[in-house]
Amino acid sequence: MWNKHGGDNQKWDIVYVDQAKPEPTKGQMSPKWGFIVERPFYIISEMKAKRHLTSLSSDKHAIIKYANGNKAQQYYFDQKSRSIKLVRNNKLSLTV
Amino acid sequence: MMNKKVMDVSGGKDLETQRVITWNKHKGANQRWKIVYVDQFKEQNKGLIEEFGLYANRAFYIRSRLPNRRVAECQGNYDVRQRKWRNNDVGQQWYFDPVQKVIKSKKWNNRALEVQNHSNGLGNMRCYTPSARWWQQFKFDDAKITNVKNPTSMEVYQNKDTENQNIVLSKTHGRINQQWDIVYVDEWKGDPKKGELNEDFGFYVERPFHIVSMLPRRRYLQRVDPASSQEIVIKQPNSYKEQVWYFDQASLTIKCQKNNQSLNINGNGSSNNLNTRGTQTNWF
Repeated sequence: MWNKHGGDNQKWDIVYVDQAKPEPTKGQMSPKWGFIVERPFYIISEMKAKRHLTSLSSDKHAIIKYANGNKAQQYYFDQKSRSIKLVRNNKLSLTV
Repeated sequence: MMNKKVMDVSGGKDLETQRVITWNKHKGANQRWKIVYVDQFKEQNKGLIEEFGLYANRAFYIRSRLPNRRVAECQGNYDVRQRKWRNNDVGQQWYFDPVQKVIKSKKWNNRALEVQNHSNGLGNMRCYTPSARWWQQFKFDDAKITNVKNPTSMEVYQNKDTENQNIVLSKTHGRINQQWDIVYVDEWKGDPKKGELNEDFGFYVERPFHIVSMLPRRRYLQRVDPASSQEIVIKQPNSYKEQVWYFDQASLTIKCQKNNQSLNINGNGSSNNLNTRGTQTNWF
């Protein structure tokens, strides 16, 4: 509880359960996040060489590499966790 | 992101294996990304792959610019060595795989050109299981075959233009043992035959010629008695075979019609004197 100031962090919606929109499922667009749920994608740099974001098991940092078709370059959006997960290991999400 | 930072290629460097971090948003190219769904991604699988300087899925020879123009060969024991070109030998043929971005052996499509040392990327080349890691990725640019990550290039070891000499990856210097031609198999005419021009050497094969001095008297190069201290001299034109030479395609040497020996720098190339000797097809 805090003194009222009308900021976004004090505003709420009440959504009745019988009127709530269902969560998007696999193959459907998640409009709030801009991804199609669980549909694998590449994250391609717009720099000249158009390298792909790559998450290797041997490197905890994400790097860019030429496209090579490997699973280490594929990601998908997981609606449950609202995170971008690695196709090569679905226990791992992109994280800061 | 909640903290207003975005994904950012570190330092704005568009380099292989460059790290990706988060950084304050500035909308530079190194912060812009495209999401392409895997089922919609189309890889260029024919034509020239400009980034790598190679045509996709088109067989080629990797031919050294050292005098004997040997080609890189993938051998049964995974070694990569330079050998004389042999007709229709697919062990000497390679192709660029546009998906994995590796140079694969035409003979063994489960083998790709790589540098054996994966830590510093220097040392022997071999042909090994394709993994699409940086030690297997090379570009062809300005006659050099250069690694995508490090400033290293493929070279004939120790500059020795001999049969079966190994091929290594060394720091790029651009000298002749790091210079290669990519010759596509469908454009390769084979070795020139008798009467045809060898474009690399500038001679017609087995077509006799004189070597004429440009000094005022226009004397001809002539081989004289090997007992003489000066075995190759200039003399007035005469009808002797000692003044007639020809280019031999098999050895890539200039031979004297008199004895069919090759023009040679004495002392295995260490002397200033010329002579004719039994053919060794070495640089001298």
